[in-house]
Amino acid sequence: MIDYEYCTKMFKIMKNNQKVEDICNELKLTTIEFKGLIEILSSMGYDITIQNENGIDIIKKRNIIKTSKNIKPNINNLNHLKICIVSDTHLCTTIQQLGLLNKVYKEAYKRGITTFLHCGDLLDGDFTKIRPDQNYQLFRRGFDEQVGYAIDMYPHIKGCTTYFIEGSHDQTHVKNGGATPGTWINKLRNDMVYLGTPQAKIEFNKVVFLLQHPGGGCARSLSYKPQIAIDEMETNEKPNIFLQGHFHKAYGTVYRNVHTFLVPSFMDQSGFMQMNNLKSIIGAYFFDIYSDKLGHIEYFDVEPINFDIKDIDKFDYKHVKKLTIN
Amino acid sequence: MKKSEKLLLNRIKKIIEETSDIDTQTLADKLNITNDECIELLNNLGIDIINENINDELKECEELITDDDKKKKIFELIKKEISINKISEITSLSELEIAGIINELKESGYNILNVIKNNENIVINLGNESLRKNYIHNISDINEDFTFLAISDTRLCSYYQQLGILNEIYKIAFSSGAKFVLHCGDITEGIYKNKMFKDTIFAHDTFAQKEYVINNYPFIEDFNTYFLTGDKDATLNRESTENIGKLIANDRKDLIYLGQNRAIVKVGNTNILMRHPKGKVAYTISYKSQRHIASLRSEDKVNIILNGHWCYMDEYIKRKIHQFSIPCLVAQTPEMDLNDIPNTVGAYLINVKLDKKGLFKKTTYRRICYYQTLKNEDYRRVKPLNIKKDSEEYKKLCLKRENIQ
Repeated sequence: MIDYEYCTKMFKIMKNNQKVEDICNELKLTTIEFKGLIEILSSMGYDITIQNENGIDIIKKRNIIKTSKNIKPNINNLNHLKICIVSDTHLCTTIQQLGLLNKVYKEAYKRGITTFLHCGDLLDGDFTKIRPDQNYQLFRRGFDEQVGYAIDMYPHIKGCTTYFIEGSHDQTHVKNGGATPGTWINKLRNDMVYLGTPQAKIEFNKVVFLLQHPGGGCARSLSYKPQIAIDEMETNEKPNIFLQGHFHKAYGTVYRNVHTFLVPSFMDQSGFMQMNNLKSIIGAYFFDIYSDKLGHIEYFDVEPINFDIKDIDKFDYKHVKKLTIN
Repeated sequence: MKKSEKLLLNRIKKIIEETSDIDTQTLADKLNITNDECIELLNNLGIDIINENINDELKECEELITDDDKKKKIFELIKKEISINKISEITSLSELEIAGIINELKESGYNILNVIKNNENIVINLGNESLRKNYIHNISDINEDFTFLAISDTRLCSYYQQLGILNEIYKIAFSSGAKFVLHCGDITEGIYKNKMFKDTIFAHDTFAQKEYVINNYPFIEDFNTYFLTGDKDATLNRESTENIGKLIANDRKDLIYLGQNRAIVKVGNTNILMRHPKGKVAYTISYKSQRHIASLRSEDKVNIILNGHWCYMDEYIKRKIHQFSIPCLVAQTPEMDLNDIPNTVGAYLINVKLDKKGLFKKTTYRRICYYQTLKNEDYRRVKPLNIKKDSEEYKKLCLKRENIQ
């Protein structure tokens, strides 16, 4: 039986940089026995080796000092960003849920949030050329009417800014007549800033947000589309936060160190979605982001806002009032 | 004793049982060897035939002197399904005494099944296998909104463990007002069959890993951790029948063992299903958890599901169930690297909000991510976190906790 207590005692006796020959004489051990002792001590977790220096075998030992240290900075020393994320408001369709969007803006205002990000499809657009039935789902038609409605009705809170990108539905106006809704909304509403399409980056407190409104259908597996997008990103081009609109889904993950979200919508399930068994999740996100000077997110508080079927107003478009807080 | 010697001893025993008052010559005849060879054999087997007869010596070999001996013997026997009658025949203990010992073993945490089959009491040690599908643990003293820490895959005893991060997360959670911790399994790294990975762990048996957990797992007084054991923990069962979860829980009162792979924690009216699923990670990380939720019967639905094992972080709501995949607290191990498994290091601090009636309403959560792991011998350089109520550090944490609440 190996006497581990004896081995520990021997470890204590040995000195760093001591000659092996000397310690062998002191302990009355042969060289091979001493090597055996070193082997056993190593297996016990001791940091001890024999090194040859100028032809002489020397003991190299380190005492392990256990320490406790803080890895993350104190939350009070970090930059704090409060932000609200929305997407796919699809204004001008009869199934829009502007009333619920107003609710979210109001709640955000109460929480002191002044920055809003919108991930595209602000308008329902006009693609009657390829889907003639859309004509009967709209209560405002064409570029002028739809952009006018957005300018008039999109929630307005003094001191708050909505940064938005365009989505495939907004882009139908570009395809139909070369008119970009984002540009005009940006011009006519001081609180709304158009960032581009189909994606744009924006930075707050050095935290980089990538807003994207991708194309294509929705995968059954929620994480699939955002994963594909992140996999295609270059290492140094990755944002801290990646937000995808378009899919009308609510999902969050951290993938390749990117905090990722699928952002839900403000539109009831359309006939097209019903036909394809696609759910339209209605909701938003409130974020509290604590980041360091370089924009690394140390703590990320998320409050998903999810509206239920019973919250949906089928006649929202008929009686919704504009939210204005001055 | 070698297997061949054991077999020979059993053969000798059988011969003696069949024939009373046997001498060495008779035994030698039955074994087809000479008398001298027989004496030598008995000597080699440690049976002294000079002063005592063979029967007595053999009896002494098998005699179970202390209660511990009896327990050990029975424990060995019930590795496989066996009847109490058979145990009685082997050990010469009464059936009642055996049943009593089995009862004591069960009380001390062993997962032993004792049922009647063909009119006989059959006993088997199930080891880590769960007895029931729905083990429900009640935490009933919470009737308002509450916060808890959700962690998983700490994989202690791996060279790649992140005890420094684990300690810090415990302090963050406690000072942020978390009431308790839920750990979704793989508290230890377990052991490897594959030689390639054997040197990725620094404790190589159940006892050593249990000792390490007991002495190093973060401790904050009155801050309990409810934990599962996962597939990694279960690898320890290849070499011992003890359930490491139970062994840990026996020695650390703040670590409460809920079972292997699955348990439900009921906090007031909120049901939380903790899982440590099996199998490989799908490329689309939400796929497996979505399939699980889709497969749940309505009657079995819970408010929150926490999935360990996959070592990634995601969250969503489906069928009104709030799903969280809990990240790990271990750096990428060589095994993960070899199998192309990515891992996210961190934890969730989940806040449960209740409605006016005290029923589950929603969750909000804090992601705590670590983008860089500690490479500098975290496993042996980190001081264990041990915060007792009368310490200054405890008071500091409590002060922060009060400010938040």
